[in-house]
Amino acid sequence: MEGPHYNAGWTGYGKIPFKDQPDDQGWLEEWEGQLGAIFATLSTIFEKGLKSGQPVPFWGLDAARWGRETMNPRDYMNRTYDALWLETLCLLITIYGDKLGVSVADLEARKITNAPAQKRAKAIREQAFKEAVPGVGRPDAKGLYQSAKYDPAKVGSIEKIGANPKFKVGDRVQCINQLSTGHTREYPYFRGKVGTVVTYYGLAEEKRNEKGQIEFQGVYYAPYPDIACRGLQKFYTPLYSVRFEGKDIWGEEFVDPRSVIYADVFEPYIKLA
Amino acid sequence: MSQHNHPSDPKNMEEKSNASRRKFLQNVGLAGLSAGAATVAGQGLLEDISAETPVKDNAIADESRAMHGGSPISDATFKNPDGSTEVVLPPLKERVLAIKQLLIEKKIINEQGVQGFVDYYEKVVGPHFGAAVVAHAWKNPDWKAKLLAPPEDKPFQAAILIRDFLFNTVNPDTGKPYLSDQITFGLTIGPEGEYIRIFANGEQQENGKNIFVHNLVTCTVCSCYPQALLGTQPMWYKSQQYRARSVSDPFGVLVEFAEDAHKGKADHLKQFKDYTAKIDELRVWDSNSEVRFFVIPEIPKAWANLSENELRKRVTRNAMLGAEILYS
Repeated sequence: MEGPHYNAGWTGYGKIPFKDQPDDQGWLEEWEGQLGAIFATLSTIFEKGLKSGQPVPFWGLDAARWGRETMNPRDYMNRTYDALWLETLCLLITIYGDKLGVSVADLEARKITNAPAQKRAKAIREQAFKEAVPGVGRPDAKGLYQSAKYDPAKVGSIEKIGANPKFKVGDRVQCINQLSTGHTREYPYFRGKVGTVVTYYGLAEEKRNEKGQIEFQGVYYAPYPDIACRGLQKFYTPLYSVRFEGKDIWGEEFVDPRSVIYADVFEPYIKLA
Repeated sequence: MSQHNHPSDPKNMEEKSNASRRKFLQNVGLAGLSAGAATVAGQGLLEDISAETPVKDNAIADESRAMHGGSPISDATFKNPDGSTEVVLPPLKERVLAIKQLLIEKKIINEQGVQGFVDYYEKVVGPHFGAAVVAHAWKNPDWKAKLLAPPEDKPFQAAILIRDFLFNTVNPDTGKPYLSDQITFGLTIGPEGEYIRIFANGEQQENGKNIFVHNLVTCTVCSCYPQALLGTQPMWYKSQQYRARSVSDPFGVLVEFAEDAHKGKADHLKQFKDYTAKIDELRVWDSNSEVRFFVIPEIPKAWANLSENELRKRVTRNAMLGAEILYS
């Protein structure tokens, strides 16, 4: 999404609130925690899958993030942090509510959200399903993407994708430009900027033992957010930590020369500089 | 109303919560508003000032700026493109409780599950885990070195090392190991606790050179955070103010923390100035993948002889994010 939803570096917001919040205080009020609990529960239901043998819709952190990006810029800027989470929950119900047995009409009847906002968010999602995604191109008529490089079904396995990173530590890379209605982790503030690859995070399949516990291999295994946010497919791309000099992003006259920014950059976002 | 369900003393919780809100309002410069709003008995102050909904009065749709080519952001009297007037929604808290009620009625969630989640984050995970890691690292330089420099084929080895430490170390406060399978839910060290990268603040050797590095953790779009080590995010970390500014003005952020959070204590400010004068590089880590960053602060010189147990009680959440330094 292009807009105020990505506002890193924007100025004029004023002082940072509540910097001395006590260490033992998580939420300011209990309902904030309850909201987190509702999101976690619904997200888990979708992560486990509702029907076998079909593309399984899921609603992880990428989808949650995109959910709030589909909000009207005015609403996004006017809402508090928790209100953004509520909005993304409402969108989850708008999109997949039929699988849960709850509908947007239920939400509207109880004044939890309003139908026009949800209609707008849905239209934006539909638009995004017609658009290109970095490294993957445009989708087919059903909104599904094809990739001979990042789709583990086509490459053979997630490990194979991980074994062939395009860049190595020390490479100077430039971030691509893009326009996205979907969600991307290539934030506007470093698009077009040149940085240095400092770490490759590896890539493997998540392994669990018979008790369902993760057997962590010490490498990355989360999917490519730009595709995962759509909730229908999971592609995997190598992921790198890229170092940008503060002056290269903001201009040398405007930042302290000692400041450096590290961003995690998915392979399709970069090319050799 | 949700206060009644809380297992700990509801009155204490409420007082704590009210004090927090007052503090929050003072911090955002709305102390006057807070005094005025306090006269409205029983109203949640945060909801009152949060501008959740557009102004109802004077909603003359034809004067809508958006309809005349202006930014929809500036428009307080929004009209939907189909001409309908927007429904003004109740305050956020009421809507959250309403969606909870709806999903309980539909048997999608249940009260115990929701309460269990809240209790887990309020009573089980929290910055005390991170503090134990920091104190152990300070006292065991070899272990610290391993946390900081994972092998190339295991970039997130820190999570495995921390798992071994927290599963096999008794928490003096509870008499039980810090972590167990009941606490991690089958994850390596808990929520968002797999792809952990650890950095140390202070002087360090890099490529044969000694440099003084300070690290600051942020998530510029939302609030990704090493929950397994620190629990839930504090309000400042989630705020637009911090997220927007952390990457472009990190030194300004540090100064603001030093000046405000410590109410200008002269000695603290001197320690802060001495510290920042040494910084060669200030590294900001934007959490824009599932990787989570965690900072081992520099130990104040005066703490050198304290035990690991004494040290862990002095490590603050803000310091483990690099937003502030530790003061002796």
